[in-house]
Amino acid sequence: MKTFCVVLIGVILVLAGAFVTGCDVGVNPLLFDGSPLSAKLRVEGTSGTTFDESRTLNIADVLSSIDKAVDSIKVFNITLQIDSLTDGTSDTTKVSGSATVDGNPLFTISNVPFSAFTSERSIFDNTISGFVFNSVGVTYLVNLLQELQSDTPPSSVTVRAFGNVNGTNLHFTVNLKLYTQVYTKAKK
Amino acid sequence: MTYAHRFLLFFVGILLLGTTTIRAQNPFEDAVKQISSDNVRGYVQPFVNAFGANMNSGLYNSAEIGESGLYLNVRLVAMGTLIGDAEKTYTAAAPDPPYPQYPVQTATVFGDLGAIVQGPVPGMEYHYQNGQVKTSFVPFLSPQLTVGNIFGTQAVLRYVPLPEHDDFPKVTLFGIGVRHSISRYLPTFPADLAASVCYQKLDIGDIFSAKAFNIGAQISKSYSVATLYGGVQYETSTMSLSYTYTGSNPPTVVNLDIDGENKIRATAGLSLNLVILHLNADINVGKVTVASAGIGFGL
Repeated sequence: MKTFCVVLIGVILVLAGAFVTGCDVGVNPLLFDGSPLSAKLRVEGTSGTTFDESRTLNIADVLSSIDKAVDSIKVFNITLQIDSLTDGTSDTTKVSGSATVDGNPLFTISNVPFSAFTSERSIFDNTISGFVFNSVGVTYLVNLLQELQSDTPPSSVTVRAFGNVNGTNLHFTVNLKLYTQVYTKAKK
Repeated sequence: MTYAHRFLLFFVGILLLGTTTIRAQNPFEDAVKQISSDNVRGYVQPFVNAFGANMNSGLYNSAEIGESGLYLNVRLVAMGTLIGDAEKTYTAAAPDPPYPQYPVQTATVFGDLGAIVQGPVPGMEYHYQNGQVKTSFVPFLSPQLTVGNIFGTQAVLRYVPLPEHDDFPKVTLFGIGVRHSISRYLPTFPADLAASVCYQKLDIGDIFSAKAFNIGAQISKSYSVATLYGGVQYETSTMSLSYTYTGSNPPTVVNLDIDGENKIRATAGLSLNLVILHLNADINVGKVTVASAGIGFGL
């Protein structure tokens, strides 16, 4: 009986010890999705076939929903959507052109109908004939986000979309989105 | 500070250790909120299994139930589910294109670093959520009151109402069970037999709630102050998650019910009955393994 008591009390003490030392929470950095950085470039025109629109964005907006100490930021996708359903531009209209970030080419389009971009498509999607990303612009964005945690972070980025279409009724919106993952600092 | 206050503080502290992994605004909750509904099930499944198995543990330490007369037992029951390597990884759905469309082995909430899938350009990658709880043991603790006996029947109650305090969310545990002596129908059987059914509900913070149900049969045999006991049990548990996934645009509300995978368990244990002091410990084997121990006072 004495042995029973010793064993039982031992088990209870081991369990109690495990309660005290059992869990360590937050051992690895947390990953957050950064707020998607969106550039909406509205094209309006009735007399020509070319367009050239640009917009300056605050690059730090990717951290607008993060209230933790940030370690680094990484790009995981860039997408393009063209909304041509408003104001009568046909989605069979074909577009050719490019997009740049601070002058660095991001992708080029050659004679692709708007309908290919009715829904949001990754610029790395190689199933669309005539649509090719350019690693120069992507690498520029990757590096720009890495510098966001430096002592002299970049403040803005200018996105430009230009090109031509096979029509003169130009009423569409080019919507570019940058998706990121934000790494918090590791627990000390 | 009185002894009663000290005991209360100790008790609350231990209970919160058990729920520490899901307190409001903690890394676990933050991590879950960043996972799409495609993958959150795999990420938290081991946690659901452990929590459900814990809730369904420690409900008895003997099959002996008297026919009638006052029976009152107040217990503090501690349970812990063991976390092995199998609970540390799961197979996740592939990230959206342009990433390769095949499943990826990555960390659960109990795992280490999440898997990384390389993108089409150097420096571009998709990183699955990292594990956030390093432990080999998920603890839980509950007070328990057993009252009886009426026609060989006892009621088992668990109730913990903890208000929100600092980082800790409001925690409410309620459980009710009934145990009935089978021995009263088999008076010549050489051991005590009982059957039981129990339902419990636990609400923690804003995004977690859990329900557990079990029905079981127990057997025990007493030798002086020691009692050997065991049993088999069918059980279910469900954890409900409700949160807003902020990784999409616009954010999407995710409501998920995740069932615990522990359905059948076998229990073996030992209790000591020292006048009004009762000690017990047992091991429970099923889909997961749970160790349980308790200290109680009663007549």
